[in-house]
Amino acid sequence: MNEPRTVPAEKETPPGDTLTVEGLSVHYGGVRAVRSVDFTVAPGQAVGIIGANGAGKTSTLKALMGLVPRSGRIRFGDTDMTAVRARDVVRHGIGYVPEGRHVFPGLTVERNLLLGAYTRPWRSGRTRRALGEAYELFPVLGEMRGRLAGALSGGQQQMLAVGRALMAEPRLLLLDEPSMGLSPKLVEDILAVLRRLREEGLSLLLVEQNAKLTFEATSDCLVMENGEVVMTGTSAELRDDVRVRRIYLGL
Amino acid sequence: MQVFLQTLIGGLSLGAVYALVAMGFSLVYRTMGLVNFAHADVLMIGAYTASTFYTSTRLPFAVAMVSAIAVTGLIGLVIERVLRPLENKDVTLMLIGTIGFGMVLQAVAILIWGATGRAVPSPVKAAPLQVLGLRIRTYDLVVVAVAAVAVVLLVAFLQRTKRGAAMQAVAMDHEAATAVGIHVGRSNAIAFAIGAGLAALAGGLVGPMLYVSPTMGGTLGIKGFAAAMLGGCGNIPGAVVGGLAIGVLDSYAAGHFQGYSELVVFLVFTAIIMIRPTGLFGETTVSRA
Repeated sequence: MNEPRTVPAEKETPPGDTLTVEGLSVHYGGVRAVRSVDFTVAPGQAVGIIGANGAGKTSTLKALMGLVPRSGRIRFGDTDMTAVRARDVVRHGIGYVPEGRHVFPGLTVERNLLLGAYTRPWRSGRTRRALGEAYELFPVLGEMRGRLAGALSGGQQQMLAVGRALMAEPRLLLLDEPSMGLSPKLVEDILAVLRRLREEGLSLLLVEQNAKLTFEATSDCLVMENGEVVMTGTSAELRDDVRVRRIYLGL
Repeated sequence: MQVFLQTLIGGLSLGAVYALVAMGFSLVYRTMGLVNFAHADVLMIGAYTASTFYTSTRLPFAVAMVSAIAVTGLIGLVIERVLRPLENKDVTLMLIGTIGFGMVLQAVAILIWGATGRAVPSPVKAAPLQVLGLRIRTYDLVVVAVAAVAVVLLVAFLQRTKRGAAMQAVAMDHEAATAVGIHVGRSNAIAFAIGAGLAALAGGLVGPMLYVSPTMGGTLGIKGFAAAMLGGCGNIPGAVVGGLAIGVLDSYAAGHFQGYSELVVFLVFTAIIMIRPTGLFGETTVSRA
């Protein structure tokens, strides 16, 4: 399987591992939510998965995280991720921003962020530095560090969910519908953050119903329907595809 | 006025015990979304273990208590481990499982200590204090002080430590907690162990006040549970306030209605819960149903 490297040759390839997914399927009882999906995410690459509600996008991410029963092959670098328990996935460098944000509402913003670094000692310089970077990336979180996460607006909670995932210093970030329920202005903010993370060399796997955002934030995309990948290509190609334009961009 | 204050003071020590029981219920509930119906019987085992260590081995009362907490903590770990396969799958079956464990513990207690029960001598021999004409038993002061320390330690553990924060995170969103690397099963086990330890503390403290018997968990458990509900189930400060409220209510009802006191306590409790179904400090700490 060829691994599309989007990082320009003159730039140093960021350290990282390739995520390779082969024949990934997810079953809920008798229902097959994801059917034999294949894709790769190279180091520093940003890949998007678009599709309608119920297309299997969220199930795909949850399967990568080990949160749902799955079959197929998932490799991240040299690690067979199907043998890794859900709670250990983060230790292998994969961060997860769940759909609907899922911050810890009764804990403060800072506690939420620190829990993102649960796998590291909290008093370490590394954690302190990561916390500083999160506040630098999302200044609003710094202003609200003592507030309960449940009291934040939807956009702020989304920032917090991303910041929490970044605290573990992942090499690959899985994002599930980060634009859900946000105003166009906030979607722009999310896009700016995703671009910056890419520039820093982080690999991204972005699941979205918002195709426009996805095409702008990623280099390559998959289109899922009924649990299957029905189209793949570069984001630029798909954006110009007649069928994609009609169904996903409403043009 | 004198009678009023005397009754209030009388209610506070038993209220402190109810608060400890309620905190155990609340801690397990907020972490796992589960009402642990074995809690009352863990309390009873704690009371027996503490009194056995205290009376037969002549260990100091404090050491006997710590031993009892260790024993019941282990029981808590066993209960959680046995029920773990049902975690996040079937709360109803887990609930029934805890009822089963309660029955087993009662049967074990009867096998070991017999069905009749025993009285425990008070570990504090000092004469009652006379303050402003009020008579305060020194042991009551010890009970309230120990309970207060337990509350402070538990709140500090949940608020200040990483493990405590992780346990709260599990309570709020176990999937997000898993994704950041928290071992949900271990967090639940710790909640169960601490809950059981609190039950043992309550049982050990209440031994010299009441009578230790295999069925002693019944009343204490139901009042502790009522206290947890009154405070807002899952809310630790609420459990303390709920416990003290039930204790004081108990004390007044006993003074005024004698045989009907329990009826009065639960009528008042029912009325409050009907007005505020989420309890006095109701919050939604548990997202799992």
